[in-house]
Amino acid sequence: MSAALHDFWLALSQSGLGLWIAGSTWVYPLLEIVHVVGLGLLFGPIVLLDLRILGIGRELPLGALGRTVLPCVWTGFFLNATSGVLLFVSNAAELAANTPFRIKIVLIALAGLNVLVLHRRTYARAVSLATGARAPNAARAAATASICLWLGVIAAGRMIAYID
Amino acid sequence: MSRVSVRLVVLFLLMGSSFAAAHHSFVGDYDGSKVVSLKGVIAAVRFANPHIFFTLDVPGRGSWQVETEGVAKVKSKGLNEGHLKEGTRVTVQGWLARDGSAAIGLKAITLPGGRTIVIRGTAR
Repeated sequence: MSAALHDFWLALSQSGLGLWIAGSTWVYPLLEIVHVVGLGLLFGPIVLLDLRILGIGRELPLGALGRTVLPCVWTGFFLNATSGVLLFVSNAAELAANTPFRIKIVLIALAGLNVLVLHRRTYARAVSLATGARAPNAARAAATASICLWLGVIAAGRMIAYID
Repeated sequence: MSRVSVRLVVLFLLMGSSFAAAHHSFVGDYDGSKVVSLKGVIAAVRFANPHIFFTLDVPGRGSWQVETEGVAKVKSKGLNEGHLKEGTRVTVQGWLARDGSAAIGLKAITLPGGRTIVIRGTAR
């Protein structure tokens, strides 16, 4: 990381907001609570939908399932993006240099790319098939990638505390 | 079990085992059988979550890093930011870092007035 970038992250963590988040007794743990709740709302429904695409619970109509769970997923994503940015601000310089954190950000980007590129192209086709039909291979690949990427995001996120 | 779920189970197991080896905790970082006592002057403090750190300049033994719990836990034991100011002379008791560095996990701290606050009873 360049010195200028490091200085920027350091200044961010030492800003009023950064010091308030890290230094107050309960703000940081409250943000962690939000982050875990958001994770549950995001990850559980995504895995449910991905497993359905992979053929588990094939008697459930994919379109209806998606309409039910995706608002939950987006709510979780919003909660975690917000709480995550605030947690990052409180310790920006150290996190920006942390290998698991960097891996986590790359994996989130890849998961987003997977939604934009693969899911968007294949999901509509999978939904249009009769309930009980085998989803197209491209949709199954996107679903598998989704599960793997989000598992990786969780694992990398948890490892921030244990690996430099 | 379908082929998909078998593959998923294998994936979970592989991830679990590869990450278990990297898992550290207080007892992973600090050796519960090696307690040291250091008398010195507080040089720098990060009184912040998730863990509080400060450095202690110990005459003849150099600079030591002291790690303790988060803000809420140390406050519940009676230690607050005002006690950990730069230049304050304290005695700390703690467990040595397993990696051999000049670092301890804080067990107890004795403040200038002689009051001792136990932050953590054991390294487990």
